[in-house]
Amino acid sequence: MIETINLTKCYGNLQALVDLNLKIGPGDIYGFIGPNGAGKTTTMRILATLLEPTRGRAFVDGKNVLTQGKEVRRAVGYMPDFMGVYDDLKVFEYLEFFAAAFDIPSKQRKSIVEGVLELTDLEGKKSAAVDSLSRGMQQRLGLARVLIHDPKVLILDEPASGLDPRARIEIRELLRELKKMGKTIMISSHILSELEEICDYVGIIEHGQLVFSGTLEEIWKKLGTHSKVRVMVIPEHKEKAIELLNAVPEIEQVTEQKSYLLVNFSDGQIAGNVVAKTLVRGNVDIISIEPERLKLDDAFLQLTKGMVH
Amino acid sequence: MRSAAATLSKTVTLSWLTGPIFDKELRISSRRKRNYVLRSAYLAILLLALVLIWVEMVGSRNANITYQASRLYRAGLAIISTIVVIQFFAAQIFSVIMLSNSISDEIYHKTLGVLMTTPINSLQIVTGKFLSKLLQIFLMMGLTLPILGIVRVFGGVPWDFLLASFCLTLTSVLFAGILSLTISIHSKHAYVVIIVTLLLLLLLFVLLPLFGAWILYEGFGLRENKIVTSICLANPWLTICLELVKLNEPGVGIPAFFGWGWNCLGTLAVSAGLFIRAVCVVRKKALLQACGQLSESKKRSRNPETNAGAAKIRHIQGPPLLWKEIRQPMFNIGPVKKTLLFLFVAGCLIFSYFIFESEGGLDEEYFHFLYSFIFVIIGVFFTTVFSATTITSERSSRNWPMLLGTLISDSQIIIAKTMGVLRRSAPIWLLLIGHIMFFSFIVRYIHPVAFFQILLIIIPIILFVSASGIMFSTLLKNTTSAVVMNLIFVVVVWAVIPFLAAILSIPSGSGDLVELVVALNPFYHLGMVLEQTAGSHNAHDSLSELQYYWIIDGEAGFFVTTLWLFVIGLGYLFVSWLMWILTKNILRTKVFR
Repeated sequence: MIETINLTKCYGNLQALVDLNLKIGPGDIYGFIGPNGAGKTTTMRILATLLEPTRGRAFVDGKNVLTQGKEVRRAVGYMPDFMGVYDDLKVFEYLEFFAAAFDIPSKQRKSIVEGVLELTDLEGKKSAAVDSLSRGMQQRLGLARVLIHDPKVLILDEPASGLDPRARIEIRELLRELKKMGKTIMISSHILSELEEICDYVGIIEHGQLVFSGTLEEIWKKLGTHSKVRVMVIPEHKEKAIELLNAVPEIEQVTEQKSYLLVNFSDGQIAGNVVAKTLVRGNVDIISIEPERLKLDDAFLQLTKGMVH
Repeated sequence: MRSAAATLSKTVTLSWLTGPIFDKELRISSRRKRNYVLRSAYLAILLLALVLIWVEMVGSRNANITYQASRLYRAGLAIISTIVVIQFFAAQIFSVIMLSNSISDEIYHKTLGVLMTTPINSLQIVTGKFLSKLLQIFLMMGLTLPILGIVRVFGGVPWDFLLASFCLTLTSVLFAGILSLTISIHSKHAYVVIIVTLLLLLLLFVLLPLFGAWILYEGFGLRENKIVTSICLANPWLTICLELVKLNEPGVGIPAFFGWGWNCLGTLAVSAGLFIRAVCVVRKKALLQACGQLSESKKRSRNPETNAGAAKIRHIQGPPLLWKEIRQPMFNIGPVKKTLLFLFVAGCLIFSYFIFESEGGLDEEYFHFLYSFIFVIIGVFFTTVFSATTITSERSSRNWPMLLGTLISDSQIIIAKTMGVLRRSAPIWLLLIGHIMFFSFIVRYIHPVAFFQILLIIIPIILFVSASGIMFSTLLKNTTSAVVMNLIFVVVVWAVIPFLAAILSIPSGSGDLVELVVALNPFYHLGMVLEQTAGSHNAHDSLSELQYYWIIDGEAGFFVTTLWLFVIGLGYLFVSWLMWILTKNILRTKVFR
């Protein structure tokens, strides 16, 4: 649904994007993460036809963003990181304005606007002036706006920034709904735990280059987190468990953490059963054995170097 | 010892009064290109004026040396007078422009509240902002000192005049600047501050004195000398004019008892009052922002529940952007303020018509000249300003990317924006059209053909100014720059170019270039049409009797003149079309600056 081929964008001497190759399939939710100034917003703006790339090509729904701008805009709902609202319009008028701007016939506008208001839970605010809405409501309105022309692709730049936890959860639920409706969603956010919960794929960008792109499973695999196991035993058996595990040839290292033991396997092997067998045979009382899971935040830190333009 | 030195240094450098704001503002000012551009432009205008006067008064190629030497005294007076007048008005305009965003920027960027969390107080904020901008203006004024010095050395200009003009300029600049700063506390748009301040200055120093003079003359039967003296006490603009008259025409008989010193003291006192008020209001605003109540109070004021009639939803008909644009009011003010403004303008107009009526001037040519020119100048001014805000306001409100992300085409955007400008400036143009229609078709003091000819003149210039404004609004980053550039563009096209043409024509002695430039000038067309059609002596002429004076070919009849006006109008429309094409090509470049 979205594809970029060697996409490059330069601002004078500054290279904001360098040969970015990206592929997002239909119906996927793609989390786009990176430090500030990494090139996320630039990529999104190019895909929304608002910036011209210096080099390379980009396609949305098979349409070239450079040569088929109007078709791309029809297929895309773009929500910028900083969204403005017209001071002198009410919520219903605002959405009707954008409905008209997307060539929706006047007879259908009312029902479509009411539909998106219901979807975004803004029905009660339809007569409110848009600039009187709270930040959370304005973000919802932004989402309602991008849905107004029923686009196949949603490009959402930091849709949850500045929102309180409740509003963030509500936006997350809304995105899940949209996924069920078959929308392809490209979303950037600094709140990585949220992306972790809703994204099928993640792209990590740094210094204009794609550091990683794939599923969350692929990230864990790449970082070797599958070769680590957390073991919790009763405190009296901790020393004994360390001794037993250190004797196992597949185990590279056992480190004692505050409340558990972290077992590293050599050569990326995953062998929870080896740990269980060893401890059971040694009469160690086990509380739990579970594979070590890194959070997306940790993966982000490990995969990026903190470089910004 | 060290602390005493530090205290002394702090006292001497006035840092206790200005705080770090002054330093910060100076740093920012030094990085702003527009300050250098303003200074260069100012110097260029002065030099241009100087050359023109010199060539006109002394440098005639047929004149001998004795003649030239005899003219030096008059040339010195003319140069000094011109420089003083340019400096007097330019410094006020620059101070209004420079201080127009001084406080609003801090409020808009939410830094005013942050400043209140530091030891800086509101006095330091206002003083730091005010003095740093004034320093820039003084630097600009300093550019004229060498010229004034040289001319003074050649003699002919008394020190008293130089001192008076300097003090009057200084106090007027202080007043205009603090007025702009005060208004900038209440409006986030610099161009609104500029317009409101300039209109207030016009009201204070032109309209009210005229009104006051009329009251004193008609109501109290005061003699002209006493009227002038009374008004001069509160009017630096008139005072400097009288100083100039005293300098150039010593025998004219200006009352000896009026003093510029009193005027300066009065202006200073009013400025001080405004300054103290600004300090208090800034403190209040800053504290509100620091507590997060500034934006909340704005939101509360827009709450639909507290707004009568707010529940009414308007449905969009036709092209959406056009629908939105033509619903933009001229001023975004509430119904009460709108009614008051309407009543004020209507009252002023009726009152002024009444004055002319009492003097028997309604059927005179000059009356229609005066009103038509005032309406056209104000109309051009507002069209210039409104058009220059079209795209920059979309950008600053962060709606621009979303608008460009829709299916609305670039041409539709430009057309809708142009229509929006026409809609917003329409009330002013309707004043002109109303005046001409009333005096053409109801009271026959203007020939009815003037109505159609004036339409032929104003429609192209409205579109021309709109096109240039939208172009600058697309090209430039912020609204104030676009407004200033469009105003400069209009002044250059219709005032500076004829002026330059006049200078270029002097050496050759041929007036062809000047004639050509003037023949294309809509203000000349307006004068030409009114000269032949306004006044009761012209209003009843047959078409064949109408003979218009064209600067190039002499007299021309009604049909030829109308045809020429049409052709020149087409020329303006063609240039407008070129500007629209350019705007269309750059509309999607630098969307996110």
